[in-house]
Amino acid sequence: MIPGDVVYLKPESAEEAVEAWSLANAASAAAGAASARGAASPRYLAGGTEILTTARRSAAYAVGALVDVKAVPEAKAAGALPDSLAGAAWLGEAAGGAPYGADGLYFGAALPLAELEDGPLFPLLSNAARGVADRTTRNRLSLGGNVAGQLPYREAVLPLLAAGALGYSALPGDAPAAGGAKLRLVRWGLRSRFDKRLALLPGELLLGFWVPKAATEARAAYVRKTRTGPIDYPLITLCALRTRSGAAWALGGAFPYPARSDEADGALSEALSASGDARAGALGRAAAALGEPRSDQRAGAEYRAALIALALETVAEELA
Amino acid sequence: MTERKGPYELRLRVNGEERAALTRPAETLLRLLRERLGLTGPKCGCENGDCGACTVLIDGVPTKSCMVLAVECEGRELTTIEGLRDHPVQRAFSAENGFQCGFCTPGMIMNAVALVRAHPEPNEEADRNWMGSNLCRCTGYEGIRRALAAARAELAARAGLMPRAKERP
Amino acid sequence: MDHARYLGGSPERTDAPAKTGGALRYTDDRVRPGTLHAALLYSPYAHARIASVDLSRAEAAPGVRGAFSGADWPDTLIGLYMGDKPPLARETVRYYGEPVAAVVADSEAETLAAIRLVEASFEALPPLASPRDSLAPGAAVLHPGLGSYRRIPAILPEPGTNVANRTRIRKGDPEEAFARAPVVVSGSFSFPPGDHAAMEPRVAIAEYGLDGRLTVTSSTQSPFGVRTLLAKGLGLPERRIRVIAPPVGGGFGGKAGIQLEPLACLLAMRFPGRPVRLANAREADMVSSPGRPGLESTVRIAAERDGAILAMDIELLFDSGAYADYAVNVSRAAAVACTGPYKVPNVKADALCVYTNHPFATAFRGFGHIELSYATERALDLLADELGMDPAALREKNAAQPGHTTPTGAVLDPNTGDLPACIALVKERLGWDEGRRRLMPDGKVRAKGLACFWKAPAIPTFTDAGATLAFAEDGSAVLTTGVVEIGQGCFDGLRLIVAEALRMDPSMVRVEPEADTDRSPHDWTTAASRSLFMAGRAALGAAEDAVAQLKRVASAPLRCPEEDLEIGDGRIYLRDDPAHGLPISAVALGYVYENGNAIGGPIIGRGRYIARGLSGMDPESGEGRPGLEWTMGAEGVELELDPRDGSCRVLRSACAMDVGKVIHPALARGQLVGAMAMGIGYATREAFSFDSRQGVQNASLRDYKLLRYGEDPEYFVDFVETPQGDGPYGARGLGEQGIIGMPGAIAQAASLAAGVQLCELPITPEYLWTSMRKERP
Repeated sequence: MIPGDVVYLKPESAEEAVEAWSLANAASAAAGAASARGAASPRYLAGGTEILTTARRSAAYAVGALVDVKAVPEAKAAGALPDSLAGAAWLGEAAGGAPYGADGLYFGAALPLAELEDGPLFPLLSNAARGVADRTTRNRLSLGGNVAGQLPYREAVLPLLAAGALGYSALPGDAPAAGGAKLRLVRWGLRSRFDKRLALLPGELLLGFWVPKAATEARAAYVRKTRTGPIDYPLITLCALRTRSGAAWALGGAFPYPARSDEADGALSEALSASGDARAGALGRAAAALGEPRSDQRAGAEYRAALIALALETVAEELA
Repeated sequence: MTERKGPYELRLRVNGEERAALTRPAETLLRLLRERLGLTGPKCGCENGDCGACTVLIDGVPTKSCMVLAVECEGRELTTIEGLRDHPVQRAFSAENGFQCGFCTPGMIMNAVALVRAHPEPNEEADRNWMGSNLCRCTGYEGIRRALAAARAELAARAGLMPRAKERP
Repeated sequence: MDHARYLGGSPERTDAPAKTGGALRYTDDRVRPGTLHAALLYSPYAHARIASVDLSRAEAAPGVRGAFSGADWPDTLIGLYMGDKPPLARETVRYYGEPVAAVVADSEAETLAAIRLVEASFEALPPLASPRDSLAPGAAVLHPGLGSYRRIPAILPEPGTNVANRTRIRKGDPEEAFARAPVVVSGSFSFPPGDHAAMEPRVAIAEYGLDGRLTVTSSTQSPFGVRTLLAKGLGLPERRIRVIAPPVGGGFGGKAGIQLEPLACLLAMRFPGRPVRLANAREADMVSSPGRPGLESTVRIAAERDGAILAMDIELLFDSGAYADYAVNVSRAAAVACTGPYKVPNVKADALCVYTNHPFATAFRGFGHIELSYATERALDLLADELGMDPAALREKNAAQPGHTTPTGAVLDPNTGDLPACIALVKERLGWDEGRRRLMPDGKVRAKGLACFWKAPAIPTFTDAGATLAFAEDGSAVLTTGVVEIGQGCFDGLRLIVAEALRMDPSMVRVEPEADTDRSPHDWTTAASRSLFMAGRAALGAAEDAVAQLKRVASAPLRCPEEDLEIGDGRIYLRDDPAHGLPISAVALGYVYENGNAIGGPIIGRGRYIARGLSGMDPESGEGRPGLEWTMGAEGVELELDPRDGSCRVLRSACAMDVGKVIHPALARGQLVGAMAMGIGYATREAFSFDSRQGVQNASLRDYKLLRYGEDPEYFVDFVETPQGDGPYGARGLGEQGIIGMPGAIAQAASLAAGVQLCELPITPEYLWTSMRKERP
C-alpha cells in the first residue's frame, strides 16, 4: 500500500503522457515549495511492481503523480518499429551505425516480461526475462521498468546491451507554451547511455528498444546462477551473443549494476578462436575487464568470480 | 486522458458483477477487494509480490493483487477465489490435500486455474515456472502437485478427450 | 476392541470447501468497521540507548488518535516463562526490529503515514553477535534486571550474566568413560537464527469493552495461554479476558505463547469501545516478532571400536536473541533429549539459553530437537568416519530401545517406538545398500544421508485438554475442544476418533472449528504435537460419557438394562437383538413418549485429560521424568552436488516414524512431508543474514528464501505402529518430528558428496564450494 495520496493519470499517447508528466511536475514543484517534505516528482507507471514495493517500504520514496503509460501505443508495440518512431531524431551522437544493418525488431517498454518470455522473437531476451522475479510477477513487471529500475540486477537489459540495441524515448518539447512542439521523439544507442544505469532525463518517457534482426537470430548463450532456486536474485547472469567480429556479452548480479565493455567483448571474441592456455587467458581477461565482483549477503566476491569463470567457459563453448 | 484523484467512486467488474466502491488512487487492488468489497479470499501474505497469496485473475491473467493499483483495473474483468464455484481445480485441491493451513490456497488455486487453462496437458516445466510464484509453507507441495494432475485429468475428461480417470460420487 | 471402522480412512478434510473456496475467515478477515489501526516504529539498531522519542508530529497527523512510547507503560513486563520484555522498548533497544513507538489512527493508511513522523534517536551500543560473544568475560549484560524478573521455577537464569536458563544433565560417570574410551571424537557445529515464515503474518484485534472486559481475537496457537499471560502481564483477572482463536494460517510454534496480544490490548485499553488492530507486515513478522533460535554447540563422543557409544559430552548454546520467550524451555527440552535416540550410559550436557542482540526466539517446530539432533548426528558422523563404519549401522547399533534410560534417567517404557524398524525402512526407500555415493556421467555427485530422531513434548507436568460432546436434533454429534486449527487438520483426526467411539459415520460428527476461551473447554495450547493425543483422549472420554448417558436414557423406553445396549450407525439397540432399538436422534435431546411425557434432556458428554506421571528435573543432574511419550523415527535423503560450483539439490527424501497408530493416513503423511520440506529449507537456505551491526539483511520473503514448487524432492513416508498404550487408539504425536532429522541427514549426504565434513548451516552452494576448496586447494 502507498500510505500517502497520489494522482493517477492515464494518457492515451506519448504526447499526452509527457505533457501529463510536465504538468504534474510543475504542480508538485509548486506544492513542494510550500511543504516541509519537498516535492514528490511524478513517475511513469507500467508494471508498478517496483513503485508499489518501494513506496510501501521506504518513507524516502515519495510518490506524487503516477502517469500510467500502458495505453501509449509505442510502449506496448512489439515486432515492427511503430511508424510514429520512424522519424525519431538521434539524441546526441548517432549510435555509430547499427552493427547488424537496418533490419530489426522493436519491443515496447510497457510490455510485461511474461510476454517477452513467451515470445519467439528474441530468444536471449526471452531467457533473460524468464530470470526476473516469478511468472505471476512477470505478468505485470515491464521491460522498461526492469531496465530503468533501481535494483542492482535489471536482467532484461543484459541481452539488449549485448545486442547493441537502440532505445526510443519521448521528451518534453522545447517550448510548448510558445506554440512549439509538445514532444520530441528521440532514439539513442543503449550502450552509449547505459553506464551502470540508464540515465534518463527528467520527464523522459522510455518507449521501447529496437534490436538488430541479426542479433535476435545470432547464436546466444545464457547462464544464470542463484544462491537457491530459480526464483531468487542472481549471483551472476551472463548473456552473450555471437557477432560478426566475435562475441558481445553483458553481466548482471556480479556488481551493483549490469555491466559490459568493449574490452570484455574483445577478450571473449579472442577466446572463441583460441584454445588451451590462450583461451583460458582470454577468458580471464574478459572477466577482469569488468572488474572485481562484489560481496554481499548472497555471496562473496571470490565465489562470484568462480561462477563467472565457469559461466564464461560454458559461453565460450556454446558460441564457438 | 483519464485522471483520478482524492476519494472517488471506482467501478469495476468482479466475479461477473458490477461493483462500485469509494477508494483513493493509491489503494492496491488487494486492499480494495478485502477492505471495500468484502472479498477476503485473496490474502495479504507479504504485500511485496513475493508470496502469491493475493493472486487474482485480471482478464484471465494471474496477477498479484498487492502489486496492482485498483485504479488500473477499471474496465477489466476480475476473478477472485470467490468467483469460482466448484471448479475442478478447487475440487482437486480438496480431494488431494493440496492445502493444510489454507492461507496460500486462494492464490495458489487462482494461479493453477490459469495454468491448466493455458497448459491443459501435463507440463512439468510450465508447472514449475507458474507455480513457483506461490509459496506454501505447509505441504511441501506434494498435495499441490497431485491436485494439478487430478484437475487436468478432470478437465480433459470433461472435454471428452479421454475417459474420466476416477469417478467421483 | 472391534476392528476399526473409520480409523485409517482418509476422508476429505472438513475444512476443504471453506479453504479451497476462499471462504474461511482468518483473524485479519474479521475487521469490523470502526476498528482503529496500530502501526509500530521498529528499532534500526540491534543494540542502542534510546536518546529520545518525539511523538508530537505523529500525534498531529490526520486521523491519529494517539501515539505511544515505552514511557507509557513504565513498569509493564511481558513474558512467557519469564517476564523480561517491555511492550515498547524503554531506555535501550536490544534487537533490530524491536518496537519503539506505536501510533493508533482511524485507517491503516493514516497510521502508516503517521508512524513515519515519529522521531526517535539512538546512541548505538556494540551488539552481542553470538552466544559465545555473550558468554565472554566482560560482555555487556543485556538484562541487568534478570534476577528480579517474574519466572516459573523450572527456569534457572544466572543473574549478572547473559544466561537466561541453564539445564544440566549429569548421568553416569562420563569422565571415567572418556578416560577409558578407545575412540573419542569431537566437533563444533553451529547455525544462525531464522524465522518460521508462516504464510499468515501475526495479527491481533483487541477490544476493551465498556463492560470492562477485554476481548482479543488473535492468530494464536494458545488462546488459554494468552488469557493467563495477559492476566499476569496486565493485572486483569482471567474472568475479564476473552481470547478468540480463529483458524490460523500456519503456526509452526511461532504463534504459541504470547505475541502481539499484550501490546494490542494495552493500546485498546486506551480506547474503550473501539477495537484496535495490530497486524504485522511481513518484514515485522520476520524480525520484530520472534523467530527460531540459532545454535553454537560442541559435542564429544566416547565409543568402543565396534561403535558402541560409551559417553557424550554436549554443550548446546542457544541464541535466544534479546528476550527469553519460549527459548528458555527450548534449551531445556534439548537437554532432556540431548543424546538423540541412542543408548548412552554416561552423559554430561549443559544446555544454555543465551541472550544476544539478535531477534528473539520462540518455539519452532521440533522445539530444540532439530538443534540437538543436528549437533549429535554430525558428531556421530565424525565417529562413523573415524571407525570406518556405515553411518546407518552405527545408529542401528546404538538405537534406544525399551528398558534403556533417557539422559534424565527416565526408563523408556514398552510404548517406546521401534527405531531399528524405521532405520530399515528408510534404508530400503533410499537403496542404502546399493551404495551411498555415486559419480554421475555429467560430473555431478549423488550421495545419501540418514539420521535418526526422537522427541518428547516439553510441556508442563499438568498439561491438559478438555472436550465436550453434544448432539443436534438429527442425531449428529458436535465436539468442542480448545484446540486451534493451524493447518495440521487435528479436527479431522478428532472427528475420526469420535466417529470410531460412537461407531457413527464421520459425516455425522462435526468439530467446532474455533477456540474461544469463553466457550471452549480448557486446553493447554496447540503445540508440542499434543492435540491429537491429549484432545483425542479428552474426546474419547467425552464420547464414552455421552454413550453412557444415551444408554441410560434409552434403557427406559427400550425397557432393558443399560448394559444390554449397544451403539452404532446412529442407533441405540439391544446387543442381542439389533432390530430392537432407537435412533440417537430420538434420545440425544431427551426421549418423548407417545403421550408427550419426556425424559432425559440434552446429552452432554464430558471428557478431560491431564498428563500422567510427569515430574520436574533435578537442577544439578537433570534427573526426572519431564517427557510424556517419545516419538522416534529415521529419515534420509539423496542429493546431487555439482562439485564445480557447489550447487546442490535434494532429489529424494524419506521418513519412517513410529506413530503408534495412524488415525488419518493422508493427514499424517501431509505432516511428515511438510516437515521434511521445511527441514530441507532449514538445512539449505533458511537463516537470518546479519550485517556487521547485527541488523537483519534478509527480512522479507524475497530475500529469506523458502522452498518453492519445483524445488521439492520425491517424498517417501512409512509408518511403524507400535501402539502408545495411553494414546487414543494407540496414537502418539507426529506433527513436528519429521523436520528434526533433516538437517543432520542432509549434512551427512552433502559432506559425503563434497568429501569434507560440514559443520555449519545453511549448506549453500557457496559454503559447499568454499569447503571443498579448503579441503583440496
